[in-house]
Amino acid sequence: MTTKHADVVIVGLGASGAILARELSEAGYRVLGIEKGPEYQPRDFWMKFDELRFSIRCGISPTMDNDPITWRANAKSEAAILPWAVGPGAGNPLFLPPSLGVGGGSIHYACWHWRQMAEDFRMRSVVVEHFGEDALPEGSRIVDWPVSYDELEPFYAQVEREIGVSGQAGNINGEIVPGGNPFEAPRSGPFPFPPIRPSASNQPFVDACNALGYHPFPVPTSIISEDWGERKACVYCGFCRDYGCHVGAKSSTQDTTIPAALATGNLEILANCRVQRVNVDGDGRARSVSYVDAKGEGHEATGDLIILAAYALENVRLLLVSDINANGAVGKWYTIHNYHWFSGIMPQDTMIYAGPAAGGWGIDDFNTTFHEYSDGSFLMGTPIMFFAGDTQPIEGVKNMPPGVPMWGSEFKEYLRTNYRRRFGMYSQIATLPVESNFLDLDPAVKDPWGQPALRITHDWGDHDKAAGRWINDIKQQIAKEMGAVQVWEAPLDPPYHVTTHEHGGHVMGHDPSDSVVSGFAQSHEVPNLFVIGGGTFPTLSAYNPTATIQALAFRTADYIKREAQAGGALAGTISRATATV
Amino acid sequence: MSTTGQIFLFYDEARALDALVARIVPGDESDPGAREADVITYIDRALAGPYAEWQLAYREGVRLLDAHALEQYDAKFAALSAGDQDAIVGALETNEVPGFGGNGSADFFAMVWAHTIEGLLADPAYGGNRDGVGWKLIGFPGAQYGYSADDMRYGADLTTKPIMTLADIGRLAHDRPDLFYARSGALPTPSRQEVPEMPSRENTLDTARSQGG
Repeated sequence: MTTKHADVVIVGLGASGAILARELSEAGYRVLGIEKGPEYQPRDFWMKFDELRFSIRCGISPTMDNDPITWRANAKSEAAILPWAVGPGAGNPLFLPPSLGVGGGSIHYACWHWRQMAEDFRMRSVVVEHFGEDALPEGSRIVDWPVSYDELEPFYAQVEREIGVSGQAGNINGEIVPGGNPFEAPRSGPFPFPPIRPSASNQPFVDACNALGYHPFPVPTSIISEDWGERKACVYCGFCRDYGCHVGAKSSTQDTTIPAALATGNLEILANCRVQRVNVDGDGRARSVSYVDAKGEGHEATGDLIILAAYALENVRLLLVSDINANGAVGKWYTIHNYHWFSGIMPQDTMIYAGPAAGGWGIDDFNTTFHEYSDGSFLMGTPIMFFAGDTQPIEGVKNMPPGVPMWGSEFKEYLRTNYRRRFGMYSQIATLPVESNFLDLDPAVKDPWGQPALRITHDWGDHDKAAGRWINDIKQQIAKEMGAVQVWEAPLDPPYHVTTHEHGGHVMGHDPSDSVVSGFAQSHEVPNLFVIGGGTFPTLSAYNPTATIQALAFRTADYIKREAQAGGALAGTISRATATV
Repeated sequence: MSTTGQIFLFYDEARALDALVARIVPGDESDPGAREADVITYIDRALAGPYAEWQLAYREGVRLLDAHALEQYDAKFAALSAGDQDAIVGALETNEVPGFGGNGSADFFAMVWAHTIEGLLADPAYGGNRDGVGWKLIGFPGAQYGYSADDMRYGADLTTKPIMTLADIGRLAHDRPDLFYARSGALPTPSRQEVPEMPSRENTLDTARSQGG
């Protein structure tokens, strides 16, 4: 047992924790970053071209052995360890929490890097405006965010600039820019890198969308399209989602903010150390965190400021085991994405194995315009993304159209002709924050260190199915226009309930009685505790969340640095006592 | 039958499973399938290592498969004609082979099926997909360092592109490290991964004794 002290203790050095680590270490604070996973080095991914290891066997994802999570459909049923994630042939990192390690989920992610729409920050207002208050479902908490798009815009721009994001602007300061997403919220400037090369079969999708009067555009990606220092431009190997990058093209925090933070000399990283608890003193302030190292020995780390930056699910688990839940709001308003997977076959080869998945373009014609199509049975829209890269053979082959025999000569013919001509489309209808979907501690299941597992109570509802049917009909229309020879859909209520896009559980809000953190992710209950990440999202947009998570992290860092000054809200809370600069 | 030796499966178990995977993806030398890809070696090595938790499921499943073959056709599964084998595979898939616990024989079929696909399409480093025949079957060029704009055209034919494996990537990394990402500036501190200490000899003996060793 040892005790370490730092000005700031950050739990989790992933997509957001690593941003706080750099911002605060550069500001002269001594930062201790405690990371459950390993600290990978660039050369660790030179030989990453291995679908079995990294995708099918979920090589860098958390395991249900070490990080068990249980699930049940409703509060009356018995929870079990994620049934879709255990058993022979069950592996798919897409239905687990994101990768562990320094860099966190930004190691494995597929690198769609969207800003949210302005409307996504005011979901309640949008619903009420178009459908009236009565449209808000009973038992739901659909609210406006305590931060607006305009407030977050400079931080989005900062993320894009500082980690490297590629794309084509569609709206700069209100001016529509040809070739980009005409629906996007106004940007203060262009992307720092031009779009990555489109997927091999992207053109038929673009042509079909244009023919139908939609507005296809290259989606923003946190993959650099041109060399940047020692990081190389994407080489389109196609081992991208679930893998680290062998050329450093993926803008993970491991390759961006972490090296910069380490260069200050103010960041110490403790990898392979799992935080088990936040210790709160009698005066209501967080004193320290307790953690176990790789040998299983327990230690304590004290900090003036403690920042929980683990995954949303783990942040919630830590708050609950630490008894930081006076108002009972922790674990509530759990939201996730339903991808409504759509697969098809084209007449010619598509090279679905080549290039990043995010090389497929998208359309946003059905996102914030949903109210033009909805009879009130669904309350949000989604972009449609063409998905025709980054699909390696085992995953690809196992996604079979209905009616194909699973063995014998017909199955072999399927293997011979289907995979090479495959394409996909997906969308991201978010579940609504409703009371029946929530997180708590499992009363029985423990991790190997004796800590309670998180329990997810979640089921797909009528909203998810109605929205899925609507958006899949549009995918059907696009596929037909593309000349697809066969298409098939995943169930509208798929058997999995974790999609690497888990949100809520420690939502932000102005009102300390019904939210967990402020708009700056500061705990209402423990003033020197911040809890950041997707768990703070009070509602969920239809976009991949990392850009917003990171913009919010920059905003939190800005708040801490500002308020720590004399006269600020954090003055006297945090000092630079141990800093080296 | 596999040209490599087995390290977990017994002789008859390997013969039965090899025959089973050969019915899932049938083939011959001119048009290889799961047997020609050496899927049995993949499964055997996986069971001896990362898939050890399914050793008993395999052992028991093969025993029941052969028992069913003996009862129905008076011979073990591997010795049956392709037609008779297919009848039994169909019965496995539809839960009609008796004796299986849990959800019945369909679970065993699903497990072997999933591992057959893995053995057919994982890198040859894992023992299956011999000479990349699984990848050639489906039209996948393997572990390519990257693809050019010319490669990535709708309708282009990459079936003549030489297949690359993990071993080839290893050679490339050795010969041309400049093609890969490295960090020289802002060099991070050395990896702090702590390796658990080896259990003491005393503990090892205690463990062995408690397990009846």
